[in-house]
Amino acid sequence: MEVMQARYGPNGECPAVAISPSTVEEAFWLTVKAVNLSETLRTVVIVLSEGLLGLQRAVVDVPDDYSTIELEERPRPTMAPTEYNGAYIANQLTDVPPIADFGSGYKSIINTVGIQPPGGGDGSIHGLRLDNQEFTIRRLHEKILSRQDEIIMTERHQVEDAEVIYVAFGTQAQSALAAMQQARARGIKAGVLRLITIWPFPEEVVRECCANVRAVVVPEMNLGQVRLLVVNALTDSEAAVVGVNHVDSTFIEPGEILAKTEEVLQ
Amino acid sequence: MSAEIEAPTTAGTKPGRKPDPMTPLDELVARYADLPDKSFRYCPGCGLGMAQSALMRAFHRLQLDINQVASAGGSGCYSIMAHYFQSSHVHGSHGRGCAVATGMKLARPELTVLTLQGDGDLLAIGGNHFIHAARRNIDITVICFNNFGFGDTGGQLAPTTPRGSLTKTSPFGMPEEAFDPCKLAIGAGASFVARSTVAHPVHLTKTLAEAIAWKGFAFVEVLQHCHVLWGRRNGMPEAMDMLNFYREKSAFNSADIPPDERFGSAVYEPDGDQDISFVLGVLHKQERPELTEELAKMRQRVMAAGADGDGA
Repeated sequence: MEVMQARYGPNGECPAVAISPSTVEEAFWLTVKAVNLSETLRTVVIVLSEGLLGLQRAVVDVPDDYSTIELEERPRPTMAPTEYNGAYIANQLTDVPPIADFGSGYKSIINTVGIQPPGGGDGSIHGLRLDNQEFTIRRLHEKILSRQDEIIMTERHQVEDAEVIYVAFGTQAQSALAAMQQARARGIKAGVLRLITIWPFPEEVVRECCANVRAVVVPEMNLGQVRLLVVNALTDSEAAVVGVNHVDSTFIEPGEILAKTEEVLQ
Repeated sequence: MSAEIEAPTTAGTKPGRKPDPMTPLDELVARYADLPDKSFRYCPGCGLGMAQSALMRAFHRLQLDINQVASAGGSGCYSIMAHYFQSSHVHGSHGRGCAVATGMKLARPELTVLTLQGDGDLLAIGGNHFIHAARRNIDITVICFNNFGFGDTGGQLAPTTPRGSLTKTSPFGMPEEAFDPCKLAIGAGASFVARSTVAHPVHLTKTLAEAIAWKGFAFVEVLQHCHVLWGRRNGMPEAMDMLNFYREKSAFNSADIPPDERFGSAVYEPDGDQDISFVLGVLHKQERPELTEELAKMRQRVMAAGADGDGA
């Protein structure tokens, strides 16, 4: 699973929001969530799925009437059209600037390429200037980072007394939960921290849950991309961070996670 | 010349009123343009300014409300043109103009949607988006500013560079056959296809107006000179050289020109073989069901069948 590509794929220094469903039904609801986040934050949100989920068939519970799904709206301008200076004007680094609908009487130029729009500082700057570029790129980051609490979603399972925690996401979270139960049955205090939001990476949550455990096991469908991020989050901890990795498109079995647990705890 | 001074009879023009094609530019600028404070980013003598003025006159002929116009484009010299209009615009990634415009038109069918694109942008990296938008017959107007190369990046060869001509990346002559963009558009299913040049401003205005008023996918190839990067390497270093070149090599479409002679793959060796001519005017027009209308009908049918119905 290309975790790093979701974050570092675009050219230019630009942040990312990526969320990773672990069941078919969750894929539905997280897509709704992704649309809402993308509207309110005015940013691309990636639903980071994987082949093992895409190929699953499942009975899911979705609303009969889709109009009951709550959708959020992007910020729209409230000033007069003559005072609207484009879709990127912000005064604070944390702002999500209003963007006008086409045909609404406001002129919006939407840029997806390197020509930096006016957008810096006092809102009166008109032209293509380097300070706009600096301001805009820092703002694109700050608007995400300053709203981490709204964006970051995680799920904790029996982490309170755990001596080993499985940090898992995507379909591998299902294997991790099964492995946790098998480990508990054998007397190993295991817990699961399921990452739903992958980017921005829930570093604080990982630190909070895992700083005082003996070991962290990260099962993932690559050669250890999230494991690196976990290692980075736990630099001040003595917890051993190990991975269980598949790159052959087959599920990581709970038994494999359990075997790795026993190996690392010895 | 008669085609050039003929009064327009374009759908959308208010009845009983024939907007004067010679409306002062100041008036048009006030109504449609949003000009920069300092200088234009076009090179001196560039054909894009002439194309922009023709586009404003086309808006004027159709009496369009500029707030109800939206455009999309990719990357190229022409990109800045959309910034000089009062209408909204999406400056998409390179070549994605047709894809973005398709989305815009689907979301807001009431808007007049244009793409402003260059030949390299539209026909090279954006070729796939172009042919599928044409196939779908979605009601957008694709305006291709053909300057025989990639201008914004320094004059490299493009799919429209005449075979034999010199560019930065073909210093010994372009070795490949060129596209005829109009032929490609017709092949892909465009319902309206026309060609004009910036050396024929009245014809260009009329053609653009007719294309914008067309219900369905309309394509206009605008031959727009780049004397700086293409002309200079091919014996036409001044803007006037190239304008004269377009005038000499152009003929207006008529029944006298056999259909297969209206298109061609240009050959232009500065000191050798030359086989280059342009047939201007409407080259193809065929009404077909339009995508947003078809989707609206489908939506009505499906909704009428109820939540459990399959709409079939």
